[in-house]
This record gives sequence, C-alpha cells and structure tokens, in this order.
Amino acid sequence: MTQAAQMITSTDTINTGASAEAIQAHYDISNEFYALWLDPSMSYSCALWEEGDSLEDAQIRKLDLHLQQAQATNKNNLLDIGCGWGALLNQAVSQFGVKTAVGLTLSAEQVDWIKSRNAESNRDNISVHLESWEHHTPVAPYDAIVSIGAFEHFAKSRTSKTEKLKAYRKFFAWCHSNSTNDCSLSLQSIVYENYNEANPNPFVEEIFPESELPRIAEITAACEGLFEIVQLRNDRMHYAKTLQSWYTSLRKNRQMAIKLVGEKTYKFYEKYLGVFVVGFHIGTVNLVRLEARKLPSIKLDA
Amino acid sequence: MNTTAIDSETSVITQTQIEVWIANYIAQLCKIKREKISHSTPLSNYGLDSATAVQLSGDLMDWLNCDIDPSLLFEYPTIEMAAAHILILLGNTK
Repeated sequence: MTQAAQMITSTDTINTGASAEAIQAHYDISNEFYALWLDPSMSYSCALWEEGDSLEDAQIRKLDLHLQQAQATNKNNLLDIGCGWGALLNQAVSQFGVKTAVGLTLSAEQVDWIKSRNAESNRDNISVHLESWEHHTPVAPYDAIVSIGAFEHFAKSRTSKTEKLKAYRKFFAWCHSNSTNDCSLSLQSIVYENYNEANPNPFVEEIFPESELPRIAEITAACEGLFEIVQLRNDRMHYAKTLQSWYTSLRKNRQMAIKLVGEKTYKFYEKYLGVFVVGFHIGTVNLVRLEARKLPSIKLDA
Repeated sequence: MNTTAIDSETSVITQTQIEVWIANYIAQLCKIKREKISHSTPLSNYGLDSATAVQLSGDLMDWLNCDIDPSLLFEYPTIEMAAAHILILLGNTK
C-alpha cells in the first residue's frame, strides 16, 4: 500500500514491475473515496508519529523527514517519484524553499488533482507527469530525489531474485544518471520481513496486482556503488498506526464510501486495511525509510 | 453472525457476554463445536488467520458500537484476554 506508483510497460529485457493498468486499478478508483479516509494532504503512505499527533501532523512530519533526508532545502530541482496527490511537492516548495518540484505518477486521477490545484493557486513551481521514471527526461538534472511508496511496484510479482535485483539496480542507476553530484535520495518502501515469498498471500496480490515487495537486503545491494546509505530506519509500528487510523475513518464513512465505490470495493478496502494493520503489527511486513547520498562515478582507467 | 449493534452507552456488557459472542463467532466460522472452544487457548490454535481475525474485530465493532484495533486478537490472543481488553475500551469510551 502505497502512494502513487511507478512502473513501466517496458519492452526491454529487464522485467521491471507492475504495469500502468495494474497501478491504475488501485489508485484510480475515486479521489473522493480516498479523501474520506486519508488526511487532508491525501498522503497515502506511512506517517511518522510522535505522541499527541493527529494523522495530519504525523503525515507532515513524514514529509519533512524525507525532505530533510533528501537535503532539499533551497534546492533547484526536486523529483518525487510516485508523487501521489502532491503532498510532498507542496511541502517542498512552500516550506523548504525548493525552486522547482517535479512529480511522476502513473495515476491519471492524481495528475488531474495536482494540475487542478496548480491552476487554483496559479503556481508554476510544481509540475506533474503521467509517466514512469524510466520514460522521464529531466529538463535539468535533479539535485534532490524522494520516492515514497513507489518502490513496492518496481519488481513484477513472481520474478526471480536476480531479475528483482536488476530492476532495482536499474532504478538507482537511473537516479544516478539523472542527478547532480550533490544529490541525496530519500526512499520509503514496504518490505517483506517475516514472510515467505515461496508461499505468496493471494490477497496481497489482489490488492497490488503484479507487484512484488522488496527486502531490505535487496535495496541495499541494488544501490551499491551508486548511492551510499547514510541512515536507515524500520518503522512498521508507524504503519500499523497509520493504517489503523485509515481503517477507522473508512468505517466511520461507510455509507458515503459505499455510495461512491459500491459495497464490494468498500469491503475489499476495509479488509485490506485491516489485514495490513495486522501484517505490520506482527512483522510479516516492515516499513523502511532510508537516506542515501550519491557516490561519484568511478573511472577505473583514471 | 449476530452483529446487530447494541448501544454501549446504555447497555452494560459483561466480560462473559463478549467471550460468548467471540466463541460463537469462531465456532460458526471455523466450523468447530462451541463447547470445544477454550476461552484461554490462543485462537491461532483454531486456525484463525489474519483476514478472519480482522473480520471478527470489524463485526465486534459493529455489535459494540466502538473502535477496536484489527490486531486485537494478535495482541490479546485468547478469548478471555480479548474480552477483558474490550471491556476496558468500553469503559474508556464512556
């Protein structure tokens, strides 16, 4: 579960992840439906909680953490891969002095949402593209990159460990090639923890079609020599709490939710949020947040 | 399932009532005789998976008209422990 997603319908040899159709099946249900149970910023990913926080407070704290980890203050050109409904882009330009913030998503509903808010506030420092990172050509190299809840979709389900690693490495290589030397990367992803991939849970596959979660070791292996990990934290109980909050709000808005998306979809979401509360609570899955710094390219013949 | 909502503000719910409700629910869902279900045995012994546990906590919420964490039966894994915790929740919400 995650914020906007990122992947490709690629023709190359690396089998990199969930298709745009698979992503849209999850994220393009209805903005109004998501607004019933997400916080006002529409952050659809794990918050960062402190004592006494409302969900909105905890979501802003999460955005701030990622912008700090990406060293975003006063940067020229920030990229958010899997930008969701644009909460981080807003925070970057309004609170961190970022000059231009670019978001990528495969969800058409999310693009429309961000563009309509750009028009309402007459702002030109946020742009959004309906495309994967792989097909994205930057106007200028990025000096800060954030990706929250997109990495979950970078590998296709039932691929071998080798293929998974290649797909992840391709992502880090892309970030490396399209960034300035002082670029930092802040990444957040759900990861498998106490889970047996050999015996996949069919319900999880139903929620996120075609997607396969990473393991921490796969992420760290994939960025070797491209980005150095500065810090890494596991926050699964933060996700259990976030999901619990969404679950309670969805149930409180049951009648309206059913009106918007029908009873079948409502029940599916109620079950999915509840099952994931349990999954994070008992450690079947975990939530990793990491900060990584770009490594200079090594010229072996130098 | 008997999920007719009760008014927890006016009705006094006892630990026994909650325990009986959970035991009946599990007996019906897992197709086990009611008298075979121990109130002090971890529910995972009856093959209760996470989806069923979430469904149970959702129906409990509807019945008791209060908020319960879907991880209830993992945090409080026996019927006795779960019912005792819910009783505390009901006390706190009044």
